[in-house]
Amino acid sequence: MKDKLEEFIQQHKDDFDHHELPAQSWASVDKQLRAKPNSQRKAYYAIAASLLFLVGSFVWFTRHDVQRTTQPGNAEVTIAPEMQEAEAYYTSIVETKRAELGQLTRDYPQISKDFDVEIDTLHALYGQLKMEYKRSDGNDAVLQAMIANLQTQVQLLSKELQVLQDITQRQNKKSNNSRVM
Amino acid sequence: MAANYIDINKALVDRCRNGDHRAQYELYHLYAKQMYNVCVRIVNNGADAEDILQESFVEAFRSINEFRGDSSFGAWLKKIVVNRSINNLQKRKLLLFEHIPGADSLVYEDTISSSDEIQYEVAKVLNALMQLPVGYRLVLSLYLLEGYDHAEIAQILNITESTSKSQYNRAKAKLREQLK
Repeated sequence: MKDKLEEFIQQHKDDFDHHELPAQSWASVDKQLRAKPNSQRKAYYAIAASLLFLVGSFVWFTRHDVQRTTQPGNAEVTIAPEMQEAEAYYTSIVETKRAELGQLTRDYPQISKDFDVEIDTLHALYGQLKMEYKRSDGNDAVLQAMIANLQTQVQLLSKELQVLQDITQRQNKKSNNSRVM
Repeated sequence: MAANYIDINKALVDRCRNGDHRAQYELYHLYAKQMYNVCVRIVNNGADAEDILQESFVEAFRSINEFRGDSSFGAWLKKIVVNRSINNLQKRKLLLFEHIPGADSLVYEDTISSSDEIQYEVAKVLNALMQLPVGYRLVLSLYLLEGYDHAEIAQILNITESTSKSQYNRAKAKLREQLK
């Protein structure tokens, strides 16, 4: 049931676009297009911040605490099982996260690669901490740093998962939307 | 829409897929004014509309590979613009639908006899449209100017199809009243 008002609006559709576009709009679009996408940039900041923290604490622990507690002792024997437990616990979480990431990492190889590099660095640092831990006969501060390292690995994987899921979700939503048209 | 839709801008879109800045500019040039007006009609605020327009083009060009060509590029882009504009209203907590109990079942008959005599003018109609409550303005402009049907509007605004229809009828009655 078309009426005159409907008809009038639909026939003059183009005339309703009477607002003129602000002049500098394209320049801003172009600038944003040449910059890195926001979500990736955020992920980089997160990675950078956690790495800085870990490297910092590693240096701090090795320089200050270890010197204080290098007396011989049998601490390692008594603490080691705890640490093994913690290690096993976090390693299993890391494995679960990796399994969850599975297909996503194949879909976004570049983003995953960036994360992989950082996680490998953390892993290498962990190896050094472990040696330091043995050398210091079970220094508690080093132990804490090891746990912090494992936690950060888990956090990074969670972040990666979140970023990739966000991207996938947005893209699915978009393709759903465009299908409706 | 038909799967074998032929987009007149296919060549431009393909160049955009390869990150061709010149092609991006050309597509922008073709659609920017129309999309800007879509934004303004939804958010009713020039500065916000400009931001949304820019964000929409950035999003469209960044995710151009998501565009599979089952609609025109313009329709796909418009969907991004409309969604972002609606989000803006939601963020500003302006997206309200006036719910009148039982209103969905009311039928608003068009008073064609009296309105038939009126000569409409674009500027006046647009002005009256922008004075309408936000829910009316949205449904009316999405339906009449952006060309969505009630099922699509229901999905975009997250309302039922019958709400879209009843809002539309009330919006039209209100608009007609304001134009008298």
